[in-house]
Amino acid sequence: MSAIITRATVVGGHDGRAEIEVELTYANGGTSTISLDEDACLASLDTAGINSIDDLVGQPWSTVLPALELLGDTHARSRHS
Amino acid sequence: MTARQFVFPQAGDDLATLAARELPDLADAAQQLLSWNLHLAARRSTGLLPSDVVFTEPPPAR
Amino acid sequence: MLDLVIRNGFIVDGSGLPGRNGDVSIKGGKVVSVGGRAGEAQRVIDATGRVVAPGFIDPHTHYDAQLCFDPYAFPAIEHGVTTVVPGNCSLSLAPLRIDQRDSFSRMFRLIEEMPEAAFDAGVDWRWGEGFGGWLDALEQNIALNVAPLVGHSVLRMYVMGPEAQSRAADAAEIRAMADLLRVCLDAGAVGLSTSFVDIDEHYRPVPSRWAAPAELDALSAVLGERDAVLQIVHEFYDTELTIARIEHLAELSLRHGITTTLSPLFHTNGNNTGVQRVMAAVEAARARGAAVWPQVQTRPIDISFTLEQRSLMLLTMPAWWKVASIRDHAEKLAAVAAGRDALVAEMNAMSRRPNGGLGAGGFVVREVVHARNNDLIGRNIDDIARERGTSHGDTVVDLALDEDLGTWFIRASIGHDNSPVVGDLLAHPFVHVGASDGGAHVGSFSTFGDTGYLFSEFVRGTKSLSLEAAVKKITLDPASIWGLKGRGLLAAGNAADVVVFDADHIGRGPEIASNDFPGEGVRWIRRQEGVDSVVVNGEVTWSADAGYAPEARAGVIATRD
Repeated sequence: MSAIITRATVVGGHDGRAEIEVELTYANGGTSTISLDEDACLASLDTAGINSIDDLVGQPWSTVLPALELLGDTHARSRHS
Repeated sequence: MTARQFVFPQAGDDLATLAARELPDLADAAQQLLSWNLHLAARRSTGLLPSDVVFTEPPPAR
Repeated sequence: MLDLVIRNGFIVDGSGLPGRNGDVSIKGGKVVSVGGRAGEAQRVIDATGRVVAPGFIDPHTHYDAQLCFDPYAFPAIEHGVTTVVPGNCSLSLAPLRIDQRDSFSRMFRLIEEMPEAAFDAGVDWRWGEGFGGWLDALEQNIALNVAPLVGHSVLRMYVMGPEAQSRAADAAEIRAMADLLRVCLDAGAVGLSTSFVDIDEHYRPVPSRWAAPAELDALSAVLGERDAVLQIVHEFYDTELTIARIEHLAELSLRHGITTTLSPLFHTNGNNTGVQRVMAAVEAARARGAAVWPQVQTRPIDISFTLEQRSLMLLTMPAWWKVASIRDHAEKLAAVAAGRDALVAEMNAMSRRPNGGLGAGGFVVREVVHARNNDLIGRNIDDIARERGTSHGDTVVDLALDEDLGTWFIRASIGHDNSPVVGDLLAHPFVHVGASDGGAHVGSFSTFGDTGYLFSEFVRGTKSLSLEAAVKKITLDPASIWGLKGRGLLAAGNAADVVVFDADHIGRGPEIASNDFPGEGVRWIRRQEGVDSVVVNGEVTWSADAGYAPEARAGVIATRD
């Protein structure tokens, strides 16, 4: 069972930076929403060769995975409270 | 209302060991687990943290 | 003779009951009478036509560092705030070993966005290492009340040293942390704060995130012994994780009889059902008897961005995105000049989208490069365009070229901005109004004025709450949740924390740049609107007529029952 990105929207992050809110829909119809911070999102777009968040819709969940893994070791920016 | 089923990692766990313990009958369990837990995807260096919530099922159908 | 009488006001006492006209009298820092006609006093405040309410309580702040050099937590008090809870999100200035100060400071400055110069100039560590010493030092020089949390990350650092950030604790270390927590609680901490989201300057999870559930359980048991509170900052950007944390908090609450609170909880239009599901989880926890309080802020979220750097704000404008992606500055500037027509057209199209991207009405100049443009700060691009007789897009491009792309802009109200929905959320009986983050993120946005905004937007605007209900939300409710004895209610014998305000005009004021912090750089603040007087433990600490009383230092460490 794999998840598909069904929505990607620019939203305001808690720390005053923009974020992308991504909705994933699973094969069972269940959905979950994750939020990518600016660095992670930009890296995801670069990795996928995408120039617009609209193009994320329809992509498999794994589109954002390479960027997240890359960021995990280098400059991943988690949320600040 | 209850939360999605989740567990906290045990000492020495990674997604593979956790998947083997929690989802022994599921093919490709570690990859499935990752798809349900994208918040853990950026942990190549630190791995799972003892306080991490790890979902052991997909989001409920609504 | 009484010390102070606040005469002939409309008393909204914090209980949520209907307000009534009368006097409030004060002597020796305590309320003597509420209602009726009070006797003579050394000082009288005429509150005719004004609301007289308990001082507001701000439950989620990071004033730890600012209070070291600013006893007023400026400008919190003038907004009516008389009690603050610092030490949230696992970080407090004590207990901390001397050799851990540098690493802690870097962590605090990053996570709470506090300028290094301000932190270093203000925090002198004169109290040594212990929590009690920190509170003693603080209490000598504060103009408002402080109900401090002790941070889980610093407890770990104190007990485990550098390994606090690399592994779970063993049984002996957990016992040592529990003992240390007891000491901190007995010294005056109102609870423990922990974080499940933060990272340090090396992108490493903060120490509290290395705690296994057994550690948090043991510390929660200590909180239960002392009737103290557990605060967490959870994965607030993820509904599912938030619900899981609520379930965990409910278990801890029931097992140890503690009050728990999580912050922040936001609403976004794109994930409208998320907040509903979170609140359903809270309601389920409450039905089981657990005390779980999500904190919700009143203010909407604003985003800052510049045309110099790639920003997600530009992602819906391909031409701008292309320009922002150019690394070389000179090349980038040349591209703006050369691509002007397309950039202008794109910006104009975007400005006409009602709710998208850089939509008109919320696109404001925040910071300029050249002093000659100072008069543009705080102004909407559309207003500037009208004044100049140019289009929205031309105005942006002209400014960008004039300032070498260095101008900073705000897209206001991009999240948590659906006021009817947020209003209903704030009015929910299980929602704890707070999460201001006062004293943090100082260079990004103002954390001041949330209380005024509660009244302007949600009492006068959406009418989601009555005046009395709104006052209760930020007075008796937080005092009860945090167990702050004798506060949050205007009643005889209680602490004389009082705010006098104009219900028709109280607001949050415009966001302005201020360079009042030590070191260089600006921070963002809001000055009060519609507040007349603020009394802390019987002392008139701020008034619209006289401003801040220079010698006012009536603040105390506000302890639990």
